[in-house]
Amino acid sequence: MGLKIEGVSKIYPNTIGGRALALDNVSLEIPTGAFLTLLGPSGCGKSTLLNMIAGLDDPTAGSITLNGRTIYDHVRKIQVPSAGRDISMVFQSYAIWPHMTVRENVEFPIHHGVKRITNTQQRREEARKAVAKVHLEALIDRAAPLLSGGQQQRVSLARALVQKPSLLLLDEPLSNLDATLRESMQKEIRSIVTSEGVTAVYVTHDQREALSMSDVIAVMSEGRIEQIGTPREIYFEPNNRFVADFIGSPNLIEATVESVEPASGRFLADTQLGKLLVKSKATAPVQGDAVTLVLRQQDFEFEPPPNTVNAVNLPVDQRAFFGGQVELVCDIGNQMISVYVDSRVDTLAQKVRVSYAPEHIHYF
Amino acid sequence: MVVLVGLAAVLLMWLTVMPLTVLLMTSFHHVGTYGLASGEFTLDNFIKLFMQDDLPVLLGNTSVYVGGTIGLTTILASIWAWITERTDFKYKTTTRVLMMTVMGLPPIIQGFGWTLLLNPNNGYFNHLLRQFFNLESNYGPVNIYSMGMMVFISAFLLTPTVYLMLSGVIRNLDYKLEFPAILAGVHPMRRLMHIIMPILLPGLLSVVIYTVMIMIQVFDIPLTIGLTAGIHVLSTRIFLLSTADLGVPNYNLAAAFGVFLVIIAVGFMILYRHLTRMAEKFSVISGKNYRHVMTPLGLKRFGVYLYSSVFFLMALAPVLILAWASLLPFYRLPSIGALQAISLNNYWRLFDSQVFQTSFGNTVIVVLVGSTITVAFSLLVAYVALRTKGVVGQLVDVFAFLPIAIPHVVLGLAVLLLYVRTPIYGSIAVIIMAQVSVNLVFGVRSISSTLIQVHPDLERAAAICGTGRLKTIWLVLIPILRPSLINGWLFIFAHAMRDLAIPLIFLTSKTMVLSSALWMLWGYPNIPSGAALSMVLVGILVVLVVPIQIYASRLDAKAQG
Repeated sequence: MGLKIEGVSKIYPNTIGGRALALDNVSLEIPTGAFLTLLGPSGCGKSTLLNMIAGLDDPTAGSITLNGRTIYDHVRKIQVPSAGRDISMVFQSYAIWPHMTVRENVEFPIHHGVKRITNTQQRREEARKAVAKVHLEALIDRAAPLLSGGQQQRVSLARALVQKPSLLLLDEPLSNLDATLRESMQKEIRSIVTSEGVTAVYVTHDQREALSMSDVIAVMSEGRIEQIGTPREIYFEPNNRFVADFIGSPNLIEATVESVEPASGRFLADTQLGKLLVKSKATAPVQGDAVTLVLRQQDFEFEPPPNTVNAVNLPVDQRAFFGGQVELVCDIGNQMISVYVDSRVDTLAQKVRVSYAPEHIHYF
Repeated sequence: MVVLVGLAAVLLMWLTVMPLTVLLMTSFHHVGTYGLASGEFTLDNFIKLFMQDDLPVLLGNTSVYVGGTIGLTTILASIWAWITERTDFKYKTTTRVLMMTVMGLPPIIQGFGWTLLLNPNNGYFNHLLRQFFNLESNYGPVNIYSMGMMVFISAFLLTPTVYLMLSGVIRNLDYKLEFPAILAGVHPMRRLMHIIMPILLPGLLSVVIYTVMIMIQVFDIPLTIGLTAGIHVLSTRIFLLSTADLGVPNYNLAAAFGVFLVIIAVGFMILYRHLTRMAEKFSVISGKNYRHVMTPLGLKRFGVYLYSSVFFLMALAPVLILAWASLLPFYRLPSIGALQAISLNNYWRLFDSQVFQTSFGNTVIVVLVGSTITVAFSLLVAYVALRTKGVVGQLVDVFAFLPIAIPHVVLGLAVLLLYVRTPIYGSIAVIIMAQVSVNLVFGVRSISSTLIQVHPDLERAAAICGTGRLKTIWLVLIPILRPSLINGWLFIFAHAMRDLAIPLIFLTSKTMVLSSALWMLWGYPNIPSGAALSMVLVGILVVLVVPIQIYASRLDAKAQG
């Protein structure tokens, strides 16, 4: 059950006679009721994938299954039209009809669509309930163009929910709103979607938005899924350089495995920062392997007690004050290391001593 | 800046306000007193105007002609807009090229061509119809000298313009507005009725009003066909009153008619501005078009092919028959037998003639100088209108827009009244001036639509590093606006070249241009020379204007992604 995408590709003929790969063999699966976010920079194919789920665009290979029902299959030539997929969508541009009021916008799908409700009384009640869910009851008879951006997006959400879809698609719904409004809307959308129990696919390029809202995140780049997992997995255990850079851009340090200590479950890595002890994962690397270490800026311990493992001295090149914390940019020769320090603890010295716990070092 | 504002104000005074003031004053003067001359004011001309026996007929004809043409044009153009914007029709580029070509054809040539095709005695189509239905009569069955045929011909003339505006309105609709309804499974018909139509309504209405404004001033078809048919409309009446064709011109009565027409026109203009503002409120920047909005034609495509072939055959038929006529020593119906007589002699004789040489030289001067001056003035006026805050900018904007609704004949008459007692009357300078007055509004519209998208910060950035205003305009603004300037220049070039109203009002043997020469040749009648001259005009317009228009529309398409 839920949404299952298998081997979906999209090839566009480009203008100079060649072919451009917009989606490259994308597969993923989420259970009913899950909140999936497609995260990636612009042009990574996330919106293309969303449009394909909606049936607004066709893949050139693969299949899509929703709640056990195949809605697209390239080989078997199955192509359920958008209207028959039981999907509704919230758009970046809101796509609110400017000649209608809030109520008319929300009522339209259940008045004219396939899920038509012929009983006027009942239809109005359904529309009112949907508008209530997005807290716009007070404005229900206002003309849509007179609403603010955030309000229009609420109307758009109500219009999508009133159809009680099996799948709700949200295409960068908050990217036209200002930062503070965006944060409150994130929480609100997530709580409405959860209380409705609807499966949702959310597209965004904002990593904070993805981390705070999702059950599952698929990080995409150049038409491929780079990594799929829970927000914690994506954040703490990135699979590769792209995902790490995109999510919080931690310090990535190239290292060679110098020796493995099976007894303590750790290995010693030779790096620009000196020799670092790293806790091995399920499959430990062997001596001589090249690995990339992930050191999150906020996981450094500042001025640790003597004899702490993985302690290094760093020359501070630059300080950036962010209120609660200070970013120290340290030059270690061929790369910069960024360290976050509590502002009240910072000594403003030109040289600092920091350490990093072996069990917190992630590597790939 | 003050200097620029002053210059723009002076230009508008000179080109728009002055002629119209003179027109207004003349309409209140006694017969024989014109313009700014002193003399007592009288309502005589207006009384005479409203006492005219045929005034109801005149108004009735104008309404039927305008209404009928717009009705038929809307149907033809809507079908075209649907085909190219909403279906998977394959030959969209070809369609646009052909539309541009039809639009480039001078109306007067269309009028002459259709006369050869549809005149009741020896019109070629009539000949074919008689043969096909085996009719005994030597007359008809179609008579071009009728209101119905005037409407029919004008509709073909107007369709490309309306089609381009309509398809623009449709293309600017955000396709995403339909997606929620598509996903909800709303039937296409309901989507059209409940979503697309209401959103497009202001835009569509403004197209219709704009078309009404064009139609009131359409002059060439009522002149070439209506006069013979005895069907007069307001624009031809003003022309007849202000030329010596029917005795001494009565400029005062003509001016009264002009004022009457200006009042109607200004009413429409206010309505138009109101509607376009509403349309802007509704407009949403368009996204990419997805396959969903492109209806697969399937078997309907054969219907579309038929419609396209018939449409373009009809629209280009007048040129084809004129091309035929231009190759024969005397006009004969197209037939295999007549092929023997074909030669280019008409062209050689035309090029040798005094009429051609004078009118060609005049046209080159009028058109080149006229278009260049117009574009330069337009840039100045558009700049002042958009870059000056407050009342001054708004005033300049209103006065620059005002003439859009004023028929060319009326504006021509107004310029004539301004200069009739001065030495420049009777020279081509006065034609240039009249055409600058008439075309200024198109230039301003075309330039300001681009200028409005250029963020003032681009100029401020230049100003901050110490570049003077004129230098900024020259080095920053003009390069950015270049495509729009070229486009505007071409548009004005084409219109100045084919315009008949103004050259006819100022017609003397010295001021003859190609379009008025054509009118004269046709009047003699000298069909072979007239046909040859028509083909020369068509050739110049098609060769010069069409490729650049296509290039410009490609650029537009690219810019839209």
